[in-house]
Amino acid sequence: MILQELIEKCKQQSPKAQEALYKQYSGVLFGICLKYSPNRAEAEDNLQDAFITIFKRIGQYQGKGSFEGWIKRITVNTALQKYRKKKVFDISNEQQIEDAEVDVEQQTIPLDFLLKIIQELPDRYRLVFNLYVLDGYSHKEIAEMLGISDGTSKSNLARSRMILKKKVEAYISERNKDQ
Amino acid sequence: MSVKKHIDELFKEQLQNFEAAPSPEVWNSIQAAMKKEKDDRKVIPLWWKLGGVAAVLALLLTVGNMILNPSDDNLNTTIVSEEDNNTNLNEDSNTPVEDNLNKEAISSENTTEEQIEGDLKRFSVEKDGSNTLKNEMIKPSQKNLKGVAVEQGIEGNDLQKRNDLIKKDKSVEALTGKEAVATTSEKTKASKNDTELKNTDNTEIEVQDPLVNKGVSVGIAKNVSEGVGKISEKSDLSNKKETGKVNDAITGGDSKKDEAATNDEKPDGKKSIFDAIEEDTNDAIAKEEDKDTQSWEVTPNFGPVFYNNLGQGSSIDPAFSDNSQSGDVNFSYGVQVSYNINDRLSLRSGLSNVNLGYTTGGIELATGPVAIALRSIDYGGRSVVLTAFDSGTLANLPPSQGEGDPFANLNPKSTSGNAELIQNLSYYEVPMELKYALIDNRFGVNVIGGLSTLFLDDNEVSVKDGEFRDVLGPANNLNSVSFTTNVGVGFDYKINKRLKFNVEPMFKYQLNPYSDSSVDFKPYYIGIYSGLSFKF
Repeated sequence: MILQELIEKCKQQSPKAQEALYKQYSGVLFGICLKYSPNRAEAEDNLQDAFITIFKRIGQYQGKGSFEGWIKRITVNTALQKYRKKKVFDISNEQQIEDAEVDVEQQTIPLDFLLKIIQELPDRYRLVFNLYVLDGYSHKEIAEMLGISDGTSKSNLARSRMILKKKVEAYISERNKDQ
Repeated sequence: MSVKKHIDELFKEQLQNFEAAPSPEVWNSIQAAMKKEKDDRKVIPLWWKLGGVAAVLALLLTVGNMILNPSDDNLNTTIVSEEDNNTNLNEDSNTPVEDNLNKEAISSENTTEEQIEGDLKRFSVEKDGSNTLKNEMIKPSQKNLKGVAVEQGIEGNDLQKRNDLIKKDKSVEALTGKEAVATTSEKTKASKNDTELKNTDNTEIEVQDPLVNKGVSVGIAKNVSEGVGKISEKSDLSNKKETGKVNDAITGGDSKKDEAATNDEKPDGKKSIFDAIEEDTNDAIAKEEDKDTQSWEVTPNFGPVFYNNLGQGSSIDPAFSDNSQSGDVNFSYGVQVSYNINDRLSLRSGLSNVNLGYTTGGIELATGPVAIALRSIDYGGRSVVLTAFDSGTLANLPPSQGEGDPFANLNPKSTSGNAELIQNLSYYEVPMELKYALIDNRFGVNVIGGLSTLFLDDNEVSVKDGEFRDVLGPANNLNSVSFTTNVGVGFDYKINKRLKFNVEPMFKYQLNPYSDSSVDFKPYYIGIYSGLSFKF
């Protein structure tokens, strides 16, 4: 079934089409959910909420712009809604500007580990890091989406980079020790 | 060997376009939620559309009747009709659901049994369950490999089917093979070590375990319980249906990849996201934000109003009951403010000025003493006034009784019978109405019901005969505050997100326009209001 047809059938609330759409996109969207949520269970909750929103509002998708972009945006929004209101204990003045580079060996750091330390970030840090680094939003856009200032977005990003960097470095040194 | 890398790059490399397979129960919950939604929808529109209109009408008429002529009869009839509604609803909601359930259960019966048997056979052949567990974890490269492996040896048409079967194997393996479950963590560790990390150490395993285990244990715990249910309760139809679904859902992750391969819809990330934002603000931006930003609407509107009478009598004088009477066409204009309670329902109020006019024909005019003039007119203390009589009155006056007879002092002005008596009213109207959207696309259809309070602003009774025109005075039998019950249909066309053009034919029935209850004049007016709504 081509995408266009699938969307049309989903607009008519056909359960088969909904299932096909889910099969086609659950992987991509669950990837997003895992990055934006603190753990797998909440990621699954968010994926579920996102799909329900998509199915309910698919009638409003007018075929302008990429469909995948549209559903990704809904998914990101689902997570934002849930986590943006939680306050972050802001320690913005502490060691803000540091070298954001890490020594990495040729061997890559496992994806599971990277995902885990992203999930462990405080909610707002995690959102800002994802939006800026992985999804390419500007600080201005992030500020609007999260209802914070540009400056807060920048300092949140710097803080999250530092936290992640420390964890990656600790991981690498542990690994080297055992070699 | 070590290289310097920006922390962002490190994450981008692996996580930017990463995909993962959610556990099957996510789809089950979504399906359940959508099914519920659908069932609700099946029942609710009937309720809302017909029942809602009926309820509003019933309410308004009840209120209207209670105000106009309070008696118990009406009350009883409305209660009966409400009960009818309820019973209808129950029937509607019960039968279709049951039917569906049974049909689905029956249709899935055969297939599941076969599948289960097939699954079990295959399970005995294949043994290495741990691999499938690892496949649940999320490695793009691995997924692709698996996809390829699956495709090998599979011919075109059967692709999807076989994919399903293969996936089912794996799930059943995982479930029924209790060993595999029990030793999950070791096996996953082991396989991880093989493929990825040759020099694994303790800390690393600790770090990875929570993730691996989570993925695995969530998936398996569900599979085991449902799988067991499947095998032990073959006779239970509903259970079978469920497990069938579970199996289908398990295939989700893989068939997705096949489809994705043929599908070049992959966007170029950023841009498309922004396009989507701009074009679909309503959709993409969370519901909450929608409500925050676009809950209010202001609509300046105007329209012609036709005033008419459902009763038999005349508002001016019972003598005119059988005269020709006709409503005039006037204008109403005003501003409405509405608040959107949800996507479909909105509450609105406002202020408008409504002008109404009513003409009574077949009268004669004369000046005479106020004692014999129309009683419903306030002449403001004058003793000799212009007044109106039913056609033929002046020609057939009783013989004069002498000095004291007021009729003797009559001075006819117009006896042709062509004169008209015109009553003009001006009200300030404050409506309180509910609007429900039946169709809510670019072109929308709504039902509207509610009440208006009318504050009498100005009123005047005048007479006209050809060129001659004079004012008699204001009517003195009008209530300064009265009410109308309103029903109507609204059509709108959404020009853009903020701007909407409306046309609303409304029927408004006046409940208590006259202070004199003996007047058998039951006025209503029909307005065709049009206006532009601004959302903000």
